[in-house]
Amino acid sequence: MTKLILVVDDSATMVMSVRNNLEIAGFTVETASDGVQAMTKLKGGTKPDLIITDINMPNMGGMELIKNVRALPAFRFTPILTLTTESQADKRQEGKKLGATGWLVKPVGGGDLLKIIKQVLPGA
Amino acid sequence: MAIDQLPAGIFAATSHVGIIGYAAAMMVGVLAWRTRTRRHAEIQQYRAAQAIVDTELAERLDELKHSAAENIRLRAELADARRQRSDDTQHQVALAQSTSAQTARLMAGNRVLDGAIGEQVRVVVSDSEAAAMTLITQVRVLNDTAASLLGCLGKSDESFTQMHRSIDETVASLATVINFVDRLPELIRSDVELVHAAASKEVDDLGGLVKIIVDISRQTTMLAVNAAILAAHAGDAGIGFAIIADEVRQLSVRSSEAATRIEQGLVAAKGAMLDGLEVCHIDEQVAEARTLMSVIHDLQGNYVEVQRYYGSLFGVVSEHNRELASGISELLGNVQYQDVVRQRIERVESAVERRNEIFGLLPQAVADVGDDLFRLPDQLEEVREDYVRGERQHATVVSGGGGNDKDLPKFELF
Repeated sequence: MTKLILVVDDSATMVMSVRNNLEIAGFTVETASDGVQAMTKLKGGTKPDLIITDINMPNMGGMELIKNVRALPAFRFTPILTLTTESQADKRQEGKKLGATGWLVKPVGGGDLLKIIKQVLPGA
Repeated sequence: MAIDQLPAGIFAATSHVGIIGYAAAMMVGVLAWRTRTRRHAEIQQYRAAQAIVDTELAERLDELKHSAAENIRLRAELADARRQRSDDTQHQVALAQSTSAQTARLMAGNRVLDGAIGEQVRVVVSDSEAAAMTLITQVRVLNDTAASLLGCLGKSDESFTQMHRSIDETVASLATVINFVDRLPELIRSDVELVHAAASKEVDDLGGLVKIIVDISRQTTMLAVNAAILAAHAGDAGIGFAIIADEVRQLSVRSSEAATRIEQGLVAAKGAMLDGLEVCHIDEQVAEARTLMSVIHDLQGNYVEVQRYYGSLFGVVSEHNRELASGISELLGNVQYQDVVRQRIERVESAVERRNEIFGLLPQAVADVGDDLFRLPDQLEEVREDYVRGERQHATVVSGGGGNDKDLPKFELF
């Protein structure tokens, strides 16, 4: 059964780029344009095996999304990767403290992204 | 003390007071003398000092007179300066107002220019986003086409393999047939010889029987002739016998003719059988079958070559397809630069907006020529620091390390 990945980013280019990359590699992909939309999908029954999220988004940013996702019992252990232009140590620590699994700085090559996903998703 | 003792007490007290008063008077006298002496000295000193002071006062007075004159002069100059300054101030105010107006016009023009530039930048960002989306779509089509080609090649390869297997089976069957066909002339020859021998023997046996029949027929004919002679000698009594003898003679002749025809038929049949069992044509057909088998073997060999070539081709195409897929994956990753650039442009726009807010205060600050004007550079510097600090948070890092903040890696798993 193919793994489902939820990609959250307010940039249409980013969403399309990552989505196509993952679909070519054989994953099923759902997308959301901000944290609010993502939470709606998660509470509505979408059960991703992995969440990839941007940090700077309108309505609900990535940090708040991570915090809210970890508060849902069903997603306490779902891997969450951030994909952002933020690169400083303090932001990384904040993300780690809130429950992020990993920190990726844009732009990320397709090959690198798939390697990292294979590390956090056993069986991918 | 009792009432009766009061007068004595009063007297004692009065005595004491007298003594004390006398002493006091003495002391006062002494003190007065001493004071008078001191006062005299002081007066002398005072008079001396007074003289000095008078001298100094006179000098001071002269100085004051000079100062007053100077003061008057300075006041006059001050008045002139004030008048001049007032003129200058009015001039400066007019100049400041003019500068303020010019600055306001300049700022307005700057805002218009920034607006036009910002509009174009947004168009550029929008166009780049559209181009990136188109690129992604086309790359996806390219990938799907390559995958489809690989799928078709894979299916063709399977078909080739199945076809090769079928050809192998067919060739094996043909080889079995050819082996049988190869042995067939010998088998046929053997059967033919057996049939020939058996048929010849039967024909010969039948020929012997025919001879016997012919002999019998000849003898019967002779007998019938003798019987006719004897019947002729018998006269009328032999007429019936003569008829029977004649019938027997005719029957014998027909038998002899039939036997002769049978013999001729047997000879013809034997000849025809021998002709039909001729094995020359079978040998030709076997040779043709062998030639066909050889052609099929060559065809099989060529097919193996084609399949081997096709297998190599498939391997090369698969390898190139993998490289293509890897390149497509990297290309899709590089498209993300569009988003990185977009965010940088947005941060620049934000800093420019804040700068323009400060510039918007400039005309009034120039007109007022107050503290606000001198605070503007600090505010501008704050905008610069915020922008630079913000850019550091989004600094590009390279894979494996080399970032601005203590070589932070580009990817980090917690």
